[in-house]
Amino acid sequence: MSKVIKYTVNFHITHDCNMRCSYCYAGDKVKASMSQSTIEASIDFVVGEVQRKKANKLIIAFLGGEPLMEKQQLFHIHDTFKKRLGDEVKIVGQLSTNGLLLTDSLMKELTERNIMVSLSLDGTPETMQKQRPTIGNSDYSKIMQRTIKSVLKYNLFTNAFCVVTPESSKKLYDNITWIYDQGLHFINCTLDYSAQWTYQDFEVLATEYEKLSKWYEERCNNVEHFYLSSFDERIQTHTKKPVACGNKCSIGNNQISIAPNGDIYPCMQFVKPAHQADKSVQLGTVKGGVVASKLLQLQSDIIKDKPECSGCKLKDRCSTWCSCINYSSTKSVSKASPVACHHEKMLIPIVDKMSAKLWKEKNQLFIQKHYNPLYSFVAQAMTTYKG
Amino acid sequence: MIKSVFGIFIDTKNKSIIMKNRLKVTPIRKYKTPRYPSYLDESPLLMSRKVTKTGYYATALLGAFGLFAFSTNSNATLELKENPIKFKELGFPHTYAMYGTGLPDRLDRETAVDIIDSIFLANKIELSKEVPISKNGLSFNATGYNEKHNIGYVWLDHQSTASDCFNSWRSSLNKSALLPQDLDAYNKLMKEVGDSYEGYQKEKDFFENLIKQRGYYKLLKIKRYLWRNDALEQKIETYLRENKNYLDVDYGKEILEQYDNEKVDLKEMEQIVDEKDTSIATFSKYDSRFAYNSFGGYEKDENGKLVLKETDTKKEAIKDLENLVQEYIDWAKSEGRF
Repeated sequence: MSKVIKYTVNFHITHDCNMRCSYCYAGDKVKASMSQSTIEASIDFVVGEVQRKKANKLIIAFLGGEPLMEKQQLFHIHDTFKKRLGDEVKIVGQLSTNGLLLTDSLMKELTERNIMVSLSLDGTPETMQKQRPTIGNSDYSKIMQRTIKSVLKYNLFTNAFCVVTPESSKKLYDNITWIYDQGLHFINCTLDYSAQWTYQDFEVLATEYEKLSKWYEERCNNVEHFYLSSFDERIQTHTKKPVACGNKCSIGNNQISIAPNGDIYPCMQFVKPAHQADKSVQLGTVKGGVVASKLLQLQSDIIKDKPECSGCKLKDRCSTWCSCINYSSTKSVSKASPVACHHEKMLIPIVDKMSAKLWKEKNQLFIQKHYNPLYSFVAQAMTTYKG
Repeated sequence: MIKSVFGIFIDTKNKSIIMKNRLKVTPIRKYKTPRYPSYLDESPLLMSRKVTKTGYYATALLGAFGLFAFSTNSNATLELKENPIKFKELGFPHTYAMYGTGLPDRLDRETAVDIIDSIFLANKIELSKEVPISKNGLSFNATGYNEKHNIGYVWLDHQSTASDCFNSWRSSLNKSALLPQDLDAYNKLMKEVGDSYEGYQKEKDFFENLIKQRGYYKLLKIKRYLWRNDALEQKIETYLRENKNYLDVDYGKEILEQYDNEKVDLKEMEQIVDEKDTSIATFSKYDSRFAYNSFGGYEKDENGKLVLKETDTKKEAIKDLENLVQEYIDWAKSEGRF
């Protein structure tokens, strides 16, 4: 079996969006989408990079704004890559969407192309209405019911992406369990690292995590196959350390983000409309290519030791390796995020305590999930079969 | 509105301190190793250290399928390591034999402790000797204990166990030991019950009741069950000789407390084996796996003289003990106990 060489490109095909999320990192919602010539130049650039790096797997992640506002362009980009790269490069399409424009027929088209859909969904309709209003402030709950049903029909493993803000952290348990109860059992949860978190917020959040740890235990006892990143990622930093953490940030190198105007950035968090963009982190353009000196500077910043983390016992398990988290919190990729630091110090002990209990009880789901390399493969096969 | 007061940013509207502005990254200097296996430990899916790669993947595959094959609350398919030490194997409470030849030989304390220590050391666990352990109602001395790794063992024999760990054909007390006022009560009772099975039972209960009530009788019982513990025997004898206030409520309190704190009683033994409160192995002199019979008959030597035949039974008992200690350490490690 040949070694997998992966290249990831985040296509931000539009700045436009039909929602107005309070925490959105992507800047103002303007009607600026990728032009045809920028699309072609972007494809040329990526194909060149894939060939130069001899990559045999290309991950195309469609991000926004809301990518489905430009669905024709999305399909065009995906199909052109298929044609240009042929069978030698495995193409994995990923779409992160708020789901408002998803229809059953669209889901069918996406599935036929093997484009995996992830739903951004922060929790209960009440939470959504508060922090993710639609343009017209319409009733979101009915749309979501339809959308969730539709995505699960095509993929039982659909990921839900949930952003936790200081406000929504008070209801984290309700939000996560609501998402789970809708049938979305694979939940990626991340903090809004750019928010102004207070100590009080973290105290409340700790209580919610404690509740979720009991909930996680119950799911394990009932042998339910699920993923909750807040817990599973941190368990993996202990059980699969070399893979699950460490200096794995590959931004700018094997991962780039292309803005609607064709500017290249190291990661999705940096892409904003031109009038808000931070030019210091722009690596180049699809037409002019990557500026080598900028890339080298970025890479040396990323791998720099963080003196503020020196001697920390949780350093190897912490999320401050993530340049995007650091940037959104400190405006620097090499400075550890204080919010992430506090969050990890609060959450890791809760996760470890729960895991030690499950391990002591010899919980089979916990053991298989975290120690069996074949678990996800079998779980996927069997769930699909049962579904 | 956000105001800065002494460098701290305060949101006056929400009356909250803004963390982002004042929070600093602070390293955490101490963190206990999580008590579940890490990527550095042997995979819990490996049932045996000698498993082949193919065997490992077969196990992994079966294990994962097993989760789906069974409905909820499945007790699963995968055999994991379990504590190799079982209470019923320890041979306690031990019943003394009244008489007889042909009783099995047992490993003596010195031999057993040397063997157990060497296996722990081979696993890079250095042990301190006779360490007091006190936790969740447990109070005893561990024969060997490593504080850093929180693991150790207790060798269970006469020296480390309390008197309730032994059954004997001898009664714990006898008539001649009774104090005058208790002797009166005893005589009265015996007159009532006469020489009968019921009388025998009532006499036994009478003695046990006295032991519970008086420190004096407790000391006598302990002394009676001591075996090759000259120091404690001497200490009790001296105390009895020098203190004639036998009816005192606190009679022998200091000796009794020390005895309770150092020795493993039967209830504690079960609690230790349960391993909920400690990671201390119980290895027992009366475990039948370490019993051996050194008498292998006679044989003629080169001069035609009858000599005792040498046997390997002791070596086998030692090997069995070594294996059990290693199995325990492997299990404790697989549990993430150290």
